[in-house]
Amino acid sequence: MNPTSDRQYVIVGIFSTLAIIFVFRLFYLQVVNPEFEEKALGMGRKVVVEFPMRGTIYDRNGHIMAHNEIAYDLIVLPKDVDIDTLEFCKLLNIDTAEFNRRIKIARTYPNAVYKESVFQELISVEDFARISEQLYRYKGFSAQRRNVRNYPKPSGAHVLGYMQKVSVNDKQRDEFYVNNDFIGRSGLEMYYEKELRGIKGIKYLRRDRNNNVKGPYKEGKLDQKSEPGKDLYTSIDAVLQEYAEQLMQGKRGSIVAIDPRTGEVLCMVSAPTYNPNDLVGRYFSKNYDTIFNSPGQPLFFRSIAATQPPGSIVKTMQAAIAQQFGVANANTKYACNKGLVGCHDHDSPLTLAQSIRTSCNPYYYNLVKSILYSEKSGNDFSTIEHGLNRWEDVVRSFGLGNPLHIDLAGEKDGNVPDAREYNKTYGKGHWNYRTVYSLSIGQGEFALTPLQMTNLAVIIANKGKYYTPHVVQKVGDRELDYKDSVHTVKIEPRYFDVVQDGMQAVIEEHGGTAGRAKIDTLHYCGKTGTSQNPHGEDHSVFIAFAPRENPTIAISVYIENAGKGGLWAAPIASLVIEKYLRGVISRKELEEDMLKGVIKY
Amino acid sequence: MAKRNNILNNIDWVLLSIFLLLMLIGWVNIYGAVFDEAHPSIFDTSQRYGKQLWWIGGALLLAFVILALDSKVFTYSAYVVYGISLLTLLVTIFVAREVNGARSWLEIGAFKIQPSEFAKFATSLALAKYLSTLQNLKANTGSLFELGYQISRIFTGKAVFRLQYIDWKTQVAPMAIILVPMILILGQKDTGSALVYLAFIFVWYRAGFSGSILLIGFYLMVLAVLTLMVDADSVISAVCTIALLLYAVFIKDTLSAVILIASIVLYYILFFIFDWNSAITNYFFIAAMGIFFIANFTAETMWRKFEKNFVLFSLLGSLLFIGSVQFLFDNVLQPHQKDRILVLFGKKEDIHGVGYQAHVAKISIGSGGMTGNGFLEGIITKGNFVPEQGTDYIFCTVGEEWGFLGSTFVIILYLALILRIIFRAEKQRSNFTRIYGYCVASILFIHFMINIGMVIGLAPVIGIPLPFLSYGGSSLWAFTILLFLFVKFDSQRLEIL
Repeated sequence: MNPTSDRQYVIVGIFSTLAIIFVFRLFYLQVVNPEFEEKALGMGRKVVVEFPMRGTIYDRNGHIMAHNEIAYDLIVLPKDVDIDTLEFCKLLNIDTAEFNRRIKIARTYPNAVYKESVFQELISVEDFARISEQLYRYKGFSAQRRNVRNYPKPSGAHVLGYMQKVSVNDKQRDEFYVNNDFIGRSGLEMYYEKELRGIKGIKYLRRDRNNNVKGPYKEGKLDQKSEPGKDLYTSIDAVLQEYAEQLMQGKRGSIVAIDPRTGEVLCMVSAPTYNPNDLVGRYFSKNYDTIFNSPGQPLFFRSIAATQPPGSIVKTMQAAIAQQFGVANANTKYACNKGLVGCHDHDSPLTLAQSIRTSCNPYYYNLVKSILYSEKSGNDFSTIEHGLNRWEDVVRSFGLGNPLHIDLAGEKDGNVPDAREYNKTYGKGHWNYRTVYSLSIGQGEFALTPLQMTNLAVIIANKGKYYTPHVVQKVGDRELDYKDSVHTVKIEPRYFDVVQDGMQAVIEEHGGTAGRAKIDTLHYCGKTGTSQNPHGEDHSVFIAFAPRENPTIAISVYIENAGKGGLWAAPIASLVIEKYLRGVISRKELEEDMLKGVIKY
Repeated sequence: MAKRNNILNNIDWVLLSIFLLLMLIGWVNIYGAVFDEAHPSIFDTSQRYGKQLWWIGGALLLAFVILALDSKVFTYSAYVVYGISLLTLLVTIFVAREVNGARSWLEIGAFKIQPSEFAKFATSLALAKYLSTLQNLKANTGSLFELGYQISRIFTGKAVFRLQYIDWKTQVAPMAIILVPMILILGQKDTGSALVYLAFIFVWYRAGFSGSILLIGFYLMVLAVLTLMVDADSVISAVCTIALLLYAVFIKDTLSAVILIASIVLYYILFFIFDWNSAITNYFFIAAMGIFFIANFTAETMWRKFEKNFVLFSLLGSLLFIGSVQFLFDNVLQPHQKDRILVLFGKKEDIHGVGYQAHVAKISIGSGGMTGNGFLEGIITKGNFVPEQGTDYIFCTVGEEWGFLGSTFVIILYLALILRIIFRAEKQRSNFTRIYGYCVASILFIHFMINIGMVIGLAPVIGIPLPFLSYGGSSLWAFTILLFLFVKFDSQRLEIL
């Protein structure tokens, strides 16, 4: 035997150990660590995204309110960039420093080795035409087609809503989104985001080291076809919307008009407004802050989010409730006792309808007092507690104090107080009618959105029922059915007759508070309101529906710090009504005054 | 006589089967690696997969010829073959065109061969023949302890240097057989192929030379890796510390030991508290230690203590080695080789440049998962992301398309091949065949270790082929000759003595 033959085992041991180490290492690389599989897909697979067209938004007559414009993103794969920088910068109209800055950023993205990132986004078709014919010369750069919103008429900004680049949160919540995607942030764009956005097309391609496409990945089995977003067919009357916006120029406030027969929103103006084209695509970041910080907060959607004391318009509702509770009828009279609450000079005493015509405050002080004390329940305090809760229950059936669930993002609920709220503020037993009487004239803790004010007009027009207000009638091919969304208030229809009488008198009779709103040969109903607020001059408020028989439009106009409802809100409402019902305005002088009118803020 | 003539009865069918299987796996994976949709046929000779089939055919023919010839042809002509091989290597340095920084390809008309591939079996033959003629090789011949002892004697005037201290016959000559081709290949600037000659350490060890060679080899490898990974100064500090501690353990004088250990502790306290620059403090450290050693070694009585010699010479050797590693790295290695080392140790991250190949190779293999993406389904492989995937990086294709199971199977095949060779070699009566067998096993092992280690990110990028799998005629034929000479010798084990 060879003297050193034992050494074969040492050698065999060393060789085997290394093989085992290799197997362990392979196990780690291939089975334990998942990162390589992802990286391999990232490297060898090119993902081409086909951005779907976002749904078009139409008005009730088929006019386009929002559609899309093609734009192009210039995308870059930093490792492949091999270009004449100076020439390229000239083409893009940027300087070399900016070029270097962007390339540097592009390099910092986590998958920058194999994944393109956006170098310049949303280049307009005209600019891109110039760039694209040169693009082949610039290695590492390519283009992808995107689309951005475009608004043929710069109106309806709030209803349509704006879009913004997705945030980190959006991406985490919904994997549909990737960097640089846009998402609806307000209005219809946000509410119908899922319907509007469509389905992205994804094509997986195999590529080689030089980023040349070699063919489909897995024969295209994983590819997804793009599907355009669904179109929205709204009930907005674009002509009316534009006209109403013109009327609101120089003013702050809101106009909301609804077809009472269906709950369809005809126009919805929030003033001041902005040009929706200014918040589109690449302009967004440039303009957003300016618009956001402009006086009057143009981005604030007053129609559904501004809650204010409604003022005297709620007297219409109080009159109906009083009848329902059996504490008043058409002939119930109260004297105008200014000692109870301030009022203006008018005839006295008044009937129920007359009290609406002249908007007598002491009348409602008394009327609501009798409402709240209509059912005895133990002592005085528990009687008013009980009465207030009964009242609140009926008021809530008007859709006040809760959101109406309109199909727009950002609706507020307003406030209708009940006994619990006062108990919380003042303590049980420590409040009485003197504490809550301002509810009777729509002040105090009472707060409504302009949409809710219109809804009040809708209910009176329909004598006790309303449909959930909505903007969209049809999504793609799918009709939205609101027939079953009818809500009935807790008041019998007959009690609205006298209310309507009073509201017609507001406009048509001597002593009515909205004489300026009269439209020849049109009989319609309205009610003024003057909303006291801590921000200065009273807000001017008016609700109306027209015509009185078979009404087709209900409206609320609310103008901040413009004084009495009859001064600004009522005439403006009448112009919108006339425009909607007749198409032409007969009262040119009034129209001129209202269009030119500017409220100082 | 019947037995002698019927070679089919005597050849090792296990080796033959593994050989055929590996070539088949290689061919299929080359097809996967360089697959071109315009040329879908695996037999298309305009593509590498078609060509590889020719090389395989040639390899089979070579194997047949070797088996048909009498093995004495090779044993008798071993030195001649070795000589021709050296000559070819030398000529290549001057004649070859530079490809990828190396001058290793000899071009004769349309043919291109790589002489360094063939030099491996030539060197193996020569080494086996020479070592097998040496009689009574002692277990510690060439021991470094012995050498250290002699040097220490010369140092202190106990002896003068004499030529007979060097054993020309058992130490210098076999070393030269290995070093000459290695140096010639280094002359071609083909570092990878030169490194393969380290394989002979195992042969050396098995043949009976000092066992410390493996230990020392391992120790030096650790030192080299640490030097390049951390920095030379820190490694010097560490080595000095260990030496001083060992010395303190061996010293008889308790007071000296305490002073020694206390000063080491003090040094490190100062070092860490004041964050001393390690380069500057190193010189103090070394100087202080030098004084300490010299003071002790001049004491006559301690002189012959083996431990002291051991500690001293290990230390000096280590310092010298660390210095040379740093020097080699700084002054001898080419920039791209330095970068590869820095990338391996994570001191430089450059996945676009020098680190790209290693980076993408890992991604390719790692994406294979347990069972792989399937034949022709590897996305990295198909996109030609890995440079040299048909040749040096062929294992990527195995990893990506056949997964952990496939790669493990290939590793098991190699281990089986190598261990089978060792197993057969140990069965030989003839020293020559046994030593030659170890040469074959060791060379295959080194290729396996460096190539797969490189592909899976455990070794720096050193471009040498994976035996029988990588594309290329020279390497396939050279490995075939290398292996089948052994198969032939083995089949005649009853005749060769």
